[in-house]
Amino acid sequence: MELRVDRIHKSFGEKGVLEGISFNANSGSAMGLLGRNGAGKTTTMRIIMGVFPPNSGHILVDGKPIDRKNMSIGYLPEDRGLYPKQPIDKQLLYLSRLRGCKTRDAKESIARWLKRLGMEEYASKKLNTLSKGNQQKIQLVAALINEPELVILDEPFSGLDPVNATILKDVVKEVISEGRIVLFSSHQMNYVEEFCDSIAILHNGKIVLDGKISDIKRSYDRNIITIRSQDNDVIEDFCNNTLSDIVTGTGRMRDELLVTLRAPEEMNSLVSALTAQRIEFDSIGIHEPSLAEIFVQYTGDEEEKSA
Amino acid sequence: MKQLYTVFSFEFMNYAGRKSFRFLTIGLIIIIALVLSLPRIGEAVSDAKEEAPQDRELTRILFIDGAEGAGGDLEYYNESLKYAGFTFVSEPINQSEAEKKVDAGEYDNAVIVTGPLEYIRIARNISMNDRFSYQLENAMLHRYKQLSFGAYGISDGEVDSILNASVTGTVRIIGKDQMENFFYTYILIFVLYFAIILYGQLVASSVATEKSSRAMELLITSTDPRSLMFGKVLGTSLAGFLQLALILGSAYLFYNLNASYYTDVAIIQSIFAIPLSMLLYNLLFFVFGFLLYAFLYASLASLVSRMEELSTVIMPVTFLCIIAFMIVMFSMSAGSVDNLLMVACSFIPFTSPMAMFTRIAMGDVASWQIALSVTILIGSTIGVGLLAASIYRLGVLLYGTPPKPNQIIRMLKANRAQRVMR
Repeated sequence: MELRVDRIHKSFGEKGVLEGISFNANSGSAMGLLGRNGAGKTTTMRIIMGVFPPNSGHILVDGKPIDRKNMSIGYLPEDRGLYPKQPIDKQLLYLSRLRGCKTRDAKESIARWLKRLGMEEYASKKLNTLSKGNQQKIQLVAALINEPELVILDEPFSGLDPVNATILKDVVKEVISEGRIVLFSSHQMNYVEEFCDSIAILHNGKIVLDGKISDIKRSYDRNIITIRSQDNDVIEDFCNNTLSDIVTGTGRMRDELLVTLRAPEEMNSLVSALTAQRIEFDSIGIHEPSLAEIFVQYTGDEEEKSA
Repeated sequence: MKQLYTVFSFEFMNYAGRKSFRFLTIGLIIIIALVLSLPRIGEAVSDAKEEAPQDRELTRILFIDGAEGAGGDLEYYNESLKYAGFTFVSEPINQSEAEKKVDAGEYDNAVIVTGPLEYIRIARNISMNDRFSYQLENAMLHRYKQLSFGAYGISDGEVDSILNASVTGTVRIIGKDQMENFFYTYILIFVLYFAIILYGQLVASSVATEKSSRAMELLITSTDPRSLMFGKVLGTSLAGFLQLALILGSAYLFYNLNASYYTDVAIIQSIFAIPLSMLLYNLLFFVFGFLLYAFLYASLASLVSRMEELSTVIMPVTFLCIIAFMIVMFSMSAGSVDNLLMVACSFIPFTSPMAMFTRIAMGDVASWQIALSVTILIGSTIGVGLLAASIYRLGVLLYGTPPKPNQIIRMLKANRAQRVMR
């Protein structure tokens, strides 16, 4: 199954929020929708869910306009939204039935998901008696109880401790592996890198970058080499003095040495030269920019980019 | 439809299932039962008292005749006021001695009759519900009349029959008796007014809670706003109606159980003697009038982001209800329920539930006017319900300062245009 967001325009009054954005998301994989605060991520998600219509453009599923009556969508909103003073099982049942589930099936599903997240003992408790992390888990249950084909997670990891984050990560991975479409938004780039095969970066109402993360990283220059070694100083001297015909410069990033080559093909020559000199190193490889770096590059202000 | 039912039953149970709701309802029913059974309870208590040895102590009054029988003598007062529980004792003493005796507690009161229509009463304390002076004066006046008529040779018996003569009249009402209908109309209008203010705000706060807790965001992505709006308003309203029906129903029940004690209390009798047709009219205007206001409350509540803003935003609706109530109340008190303002108000849906019902109950109104008013009311209720659902959908997106009415209209138009385009 393929979800296609096709040339969506949306404005609220005079203010244009989305200016013709398009991207694809496929079942069995997660799509990361990235962007700074106010970039239009939540608006895009709401349009997909049909909370309000776009000014123009379409949401397509397998090439046809989305039929929300027959396609179940699970949503975890960024601003957590459930009844604070209602028992958890009661409100989950309510949500599930609103989405068209039969009472018995809904109860089974709720019990299963609460157990899966280790929350079954809280079933009859009121939501506001739970800790923030546990409330977050309930929120995820609310998104997943109807086994939706499309799962939209807006900042699912905010405010979670590492243990809860791991539990949540496992569940999200499970959902992806079950062949559903997962649309994912987060500011925590490590999570995005961990889950998402592809990303779309939204900036000022436009998609400024989209595609598979691996392809995006490959598209960057491959002439910067990362070397990890006990003898970084020795290697740096060697590169600058002896290998100046293939090396144009060196630099440091934390405990790694970055070596810029004249051309990517020179990497073999570099490795051979280092081996010939019997210089020991732990690892050597092509330096790929992190997602955070790419994100800043596309969405940062000029000052932030140069920093 | 199924979703509407889901929302409806959730919202209904949300209130009807609450402990506070049950306690309040049962508590009010108990209070009503007690109040309406008071005469029966009072009688039971006094019965119990009367079973005790029958020697009720009479209140002792010191009687000093300073007018030599011109204002009635000891025997006359003893006879006249024995039924009221007073016994008069005569002593040949003067005023200051009498004061001492009263002060010492020997007598409750002392009376010095100084003329045919004059007396001095000496009392230690006079309680709030003291009736001695009144009864004494009545007796004294009666004695005066007897003696005066006696001077013309009319006997005491003849005097009594002349003075106690009464008129028997039969009134045949062709139209309506405003006096009789006044009380139940007043009460029903009052109940509607309170129901709108109380339960309407209940609906409003329920919507605002959903908004501020952002549960609305999940709801609106799970179902359509119309089901949410109608389910919510109908569910909460039914819980409110149920509570009212239980309370009013129990009042009716306990009145009928104790009806024999109220035969001479005209007001209470007239309240419970509502004709069935009036009750049905009231039900019709009540249900739709209430729903109309509930939709207004719900739609406005969906515009606030925080509970603190709620009261400010819903104030116009509350005022609308108060104005409708005031117009009806003043017209009722003035006795002119068919004045021009009332006629106009009986076709405006926000005022017609109170105004038209009052006119039906107390005034003169053509049946086409009733039909027109009901049609406008039902149509407006549905229309406002649909509009409220649209505002509710908009409201989900609005955080921050609640928008002004013209902004809402602009947004609604823009939203509609986009929907049509799609």
